Amino acid sequence: MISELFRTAARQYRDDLAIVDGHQRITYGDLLERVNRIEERLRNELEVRAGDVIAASIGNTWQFAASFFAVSGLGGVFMPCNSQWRAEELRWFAGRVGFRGVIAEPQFRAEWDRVGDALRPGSILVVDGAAAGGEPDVARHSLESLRSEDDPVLYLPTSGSTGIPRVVSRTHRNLAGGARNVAQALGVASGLRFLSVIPFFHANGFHNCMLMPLLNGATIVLMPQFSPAACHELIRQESVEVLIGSPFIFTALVDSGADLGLLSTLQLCFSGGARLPATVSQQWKDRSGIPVRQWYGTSETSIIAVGCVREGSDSVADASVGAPIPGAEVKVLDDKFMELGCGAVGELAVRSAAVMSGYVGEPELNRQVFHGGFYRTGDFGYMDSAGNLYLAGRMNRVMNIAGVKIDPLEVEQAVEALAGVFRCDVDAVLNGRGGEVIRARIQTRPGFDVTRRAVIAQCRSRLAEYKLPRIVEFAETLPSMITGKMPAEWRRDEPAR
Amino acid sequence: MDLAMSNSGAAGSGAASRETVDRIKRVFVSSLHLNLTEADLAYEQQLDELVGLDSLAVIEFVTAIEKEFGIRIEPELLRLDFVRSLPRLSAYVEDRVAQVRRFSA
Repeated sequence: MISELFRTAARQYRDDLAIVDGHQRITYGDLLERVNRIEERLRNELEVRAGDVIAASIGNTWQFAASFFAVSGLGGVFMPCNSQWRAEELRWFAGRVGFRGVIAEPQFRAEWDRVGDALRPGSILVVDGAAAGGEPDVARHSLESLRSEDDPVLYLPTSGSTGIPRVVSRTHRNLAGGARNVAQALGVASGLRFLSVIPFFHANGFHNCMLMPLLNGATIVLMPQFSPAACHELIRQESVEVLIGSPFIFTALVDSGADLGLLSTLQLCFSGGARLPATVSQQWKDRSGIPVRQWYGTSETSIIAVGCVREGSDSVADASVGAPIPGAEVKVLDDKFMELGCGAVGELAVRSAAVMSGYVGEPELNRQVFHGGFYRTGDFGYMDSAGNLYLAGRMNRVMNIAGVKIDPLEVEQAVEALAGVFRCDVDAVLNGRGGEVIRARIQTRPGFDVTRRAVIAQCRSRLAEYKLPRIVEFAETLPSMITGKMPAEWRRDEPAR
Repeated sequence: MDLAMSNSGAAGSGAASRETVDRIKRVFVSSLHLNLTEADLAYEQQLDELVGLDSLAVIEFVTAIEKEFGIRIEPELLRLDFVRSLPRLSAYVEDRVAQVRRFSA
C-alpha cells in the first residue's frame, strides 16, 4: 500500500524534484528508478520475501528513501537504526527482531560486521552514494500485494522503561493515515520545499521529513549533518519553505548570530521532540519574522497536536503544544482510566489511524498501553476549554534528551557493571539553555576508587554516544529512587516532555 | 585529520600556545555546562575522556569556540573525531585566528 502510494505520486509528479541530495537533484521519476534498482538487489542478493525484516543503517541520503520504498514494495518490514549504535546494541535488536538482512552505507559496515552470528553470513547489502543506473518503471510483480494494510511495514526502535529497548510496529495503514492527517494539518501541497535535517531514523524525521513530503509531491532538501552555518546557507541556496527542526536546531541557529532575516523563503517552521524555550521562540520570531509552531508526538503515534499562531497575537511563546490534528482524538485519563475535564491533569491517551499496532513481541505490555482503543502515551498533561493541549511531565523515568527518549536504567546498568560501583542513579538535568542533559550520580563501594574516566570508558564500550552522561557526580549516599510512580505534585511550568 | 591539515595550512607545523589550549578548555567546560574545572582537564589530550560527546554537544561546543575566538570553523570539521583532540583543535583555531587577522590587516 505504501509502496503503491509512492508509485502513484511518482508517476503523477514524474518530472518534479523529489530530493536534493548534495549535488544530486533527483526527480520523482529518477527516484522511482532507483527504488526499482534497490528492489532488484534486495530480491537477488538478499532474497527478501514478504514479511522479512530488513535493518537499515543509512544517513539522510536518497538511499534511505529509496531503500524504504524498495523494502515496502517487496512486502518487507523496514527497521531504521540509529547511526551511533554500537555492535552490542545492534546485536540486541538482531536477536530480538531477526533480520533477513541489512542495508548499510559503507561507513556503517564495520559496526555491522562486529555483530557476528546474530546475522546470516553475507546478508549486508552496501549502498553507496553513486547514482547507479536505475531500473525502468515497467509492469512488475509486486510482492506488496501479498500483504494486507494491517501488516507491519516499519519497525521503529524506541526506549523502554525497563532497561530493555522496544520496537514499535507500524502498519501500512498507520503510515498512510498518519501522512494524510499531518499533511492536512500542516497544509502540505506538492512542490513545497522541505529542509530534512532531523535524522530519518527518528520517528519525527522518518514521518515528517521523508515519508509525508514524498507521498505528497513535495521536495526534500537533505542535510546529512547539521551545522548552523551550513543550514542557513542551504535554506537560502535552495529557497527552502518548510523547516522542521527541534529545540536544539532553533537554539543553535539563534545562537550562531546568523542573519535570520535572510531566510526570506521560509513560510512554515515547526519544532518537535521537546519544549522549545520561550526565549528562543521569541528571538527566532523577532529575527526571522516567522513564528515557530511547536508540535507534540511520539514514536508510537506520530504527530498528535500542532500549535497554531493566534490571530492578532504577537506572542508565540505559548506553553501549549496546540490542538489535536484532524483524525486524532485525545483524552485525558485519571489513574482509573476515567476521562477528565478541562484543566485537570492526567495521562494523555490518543486514538488515530496513525497509532501503532503494538510493540513487537510484547503482548503483555500491549495490553497495558492500550485502553479502550486509546494508546496511553505515558505523558501527563491537560486540555484547556479551547481544546489546546499542555504537557506536564512523564509518568515513568524515561528521559527526553533533545527529542530522543533514553531509558535511565540502560545507562545505570552499564555503570553498575563497573567494578567498585555500588549504585548509580541517572536522570536528566537542565543545561542552562532550556535543554536537558544526562546526569549520573554514583555511589562507590568502600575501598574502591572509581574515576570519572573509568565511568565514561565503561559507558562508551557498551552504549551509543548520545546515551553517555554529560554530568558525573560521586556521592556518599544516594536518595532512594522514585520509579514510575505518579508524582504527588505537579508543576505546570516544568519542561515539556 | 588529513582534512584539517590541508584546510588549515600551517596548523600541522607547530604546537599551539598554552593560552589557546587553556581558553579552549574553559569554553569546553562552560559551553557544555560540565561539572568539571579546567584543572580536571590539565593532563588531557582528548576532550572526550571525561564526558560523553554526542553530535549535539559537538555543535554546541564548536559554536562557542567560534564566538570565543571570532572565527568560523568549516562545517566539514564538525565531527567528534576532529574536535576531541586538543592539540589538533588548538592548532587549527590558532591558524584560523591568524587568517582572520591577515584579512582584517
